[in-house]
Amino acid sequence: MEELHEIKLFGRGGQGIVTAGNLLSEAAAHGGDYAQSIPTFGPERRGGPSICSLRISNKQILLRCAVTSPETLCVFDPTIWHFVNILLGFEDNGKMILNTQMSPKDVENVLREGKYGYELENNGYEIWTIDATEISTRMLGRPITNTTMLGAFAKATGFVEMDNVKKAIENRFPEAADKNFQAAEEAFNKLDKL
Amino acid sequence: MTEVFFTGNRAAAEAAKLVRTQVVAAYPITPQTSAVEYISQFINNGELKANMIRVESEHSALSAVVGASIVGARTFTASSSQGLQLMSEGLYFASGMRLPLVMAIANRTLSMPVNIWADHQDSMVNRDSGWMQIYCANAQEVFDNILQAYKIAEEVLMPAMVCYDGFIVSHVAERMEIIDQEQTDMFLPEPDLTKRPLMDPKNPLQFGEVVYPDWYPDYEYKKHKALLDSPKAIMDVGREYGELFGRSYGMVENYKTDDAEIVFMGLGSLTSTTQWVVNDLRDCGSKVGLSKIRVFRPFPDKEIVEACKNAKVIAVIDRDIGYGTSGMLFPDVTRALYPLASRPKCLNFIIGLGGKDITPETIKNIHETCEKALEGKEVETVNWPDARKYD
Repeated sequence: MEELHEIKLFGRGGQGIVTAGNLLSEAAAHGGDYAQSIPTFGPERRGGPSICSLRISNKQILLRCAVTSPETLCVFDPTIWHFVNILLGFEDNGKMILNTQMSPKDVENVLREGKYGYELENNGYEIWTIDATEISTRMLGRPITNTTMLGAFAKATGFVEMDNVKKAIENRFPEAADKNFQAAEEAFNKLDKL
Repeated sequence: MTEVFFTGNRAAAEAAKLVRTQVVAAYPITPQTSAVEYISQFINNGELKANMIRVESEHSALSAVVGASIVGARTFTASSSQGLQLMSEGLYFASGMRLPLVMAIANRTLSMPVNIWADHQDSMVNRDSGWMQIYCANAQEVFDNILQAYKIAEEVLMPAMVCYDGFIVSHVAERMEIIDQEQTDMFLPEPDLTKRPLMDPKNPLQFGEVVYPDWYPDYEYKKHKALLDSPKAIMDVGREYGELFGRSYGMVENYKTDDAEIVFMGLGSLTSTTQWVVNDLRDCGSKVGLSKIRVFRPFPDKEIVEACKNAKVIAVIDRDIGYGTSGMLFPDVTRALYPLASRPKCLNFIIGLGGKDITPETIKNIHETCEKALEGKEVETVNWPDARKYD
């Protein structure tokens, strides 16, 4: 039986969203799954919205297009969701993981009120939050959350194992692997859930 | 056999390394660039002993590998879009001199308007340049097809392009398998240089000379015949590759076409999404199938006829457009089917131009039009399901 997970990652150009997608795909592959990360390719502007489609499956993935109905959203930037409708196509009973200082309850309230021009109307959802910017700034010396958020993603979804996240980080950043993985681990342990 | 996590461009570079390419010349153009950057790294870190010729244009890049091939080197180059167009003149030199070049094409549309994303316009407009054309749907196929392309090209003495969609294959990292150096050397030994004349100062020969009208048609016929006869080598190599490494290849991969009333037909990564849709439609009881065309030049007439033998409607999906006529795959398919006593209805669908995302909905939209044709309703021959309507 095919178990296909469709995921969207949101951030800003320069924050390493494409790298995060590749790291998660690689971590999933280390775990024996198939994975594919498809960024919205283009002349990316630093600071502009950057979105990446990610698929993880136990079977070979035939679809080769952007994800339009994600079951999981992972938001790397604390304010990107203020002007990008992250809920477009969001499936019922899905999960969202946000980098924010807000509690999951506050995020829910804001989204249900439609404060940013779109409303959370799904039947069933999970909201997970983590202040990844604080962790990244403290541990890595800069507010780039792409590796920190991998831990949050692993904890909230269970789609990837932390051992495999570690392997992917080691392959990509051999010199700074330890620090980056520790940041991911801290996010894994500190994540809040609604 | 090692499992790796590579993009299409990385897969192309790995294959070029494993075949022990001796001369590489290329000029950067998105989305091909990273393929040659990887090769440059391999040369720099000693993994590949090759001569990287830095040139000032794609025209020179192709000219450089043409020259290297004439003295007997195994060569590699890659391009996309305008870059391939700039090479256009040299494409005919290479096929006319029967050089076994292999080139990777990360498919991208042609300007204007400027657009860096995938469609097949760049390679399709060069379909009659005498090069074999092999299309890939994912990084694994890029790797497998480049290895095979060398063996095929060196056997039939015609050049080969291995084409894969820009970004959607060239830049998407995925799980795939590579073979090691020893396996590659066994599959593809050093080229047999006794098969063709080579440039050698000790034995001077003239290459690329004038042929007068009386003999010219004979040269043209021999090029044509070389491609017409090449399916044997293509199939043999595809079979051998399968026996050795577990993945066999033919001219066309027909999927659930035996009892299909509607057959989708196309090139490149769109066939992968289409296969997903075929599974989905089959679950809903629709008799649909897919004919995934791997080799577009030489054109696989026999396999196309086989795929369509029970079909009533054929959806030829083109990710390219011959302005003022139809997509460029369409006329070849209709020509192949024309001799049949009872021919299916052939419809043409132009989609995914300039990187427009080809989603399951796009393919289902095509299916709906085919269903209408199946019911005997009148439908357009050439359709643009993912463009806005203007009339």
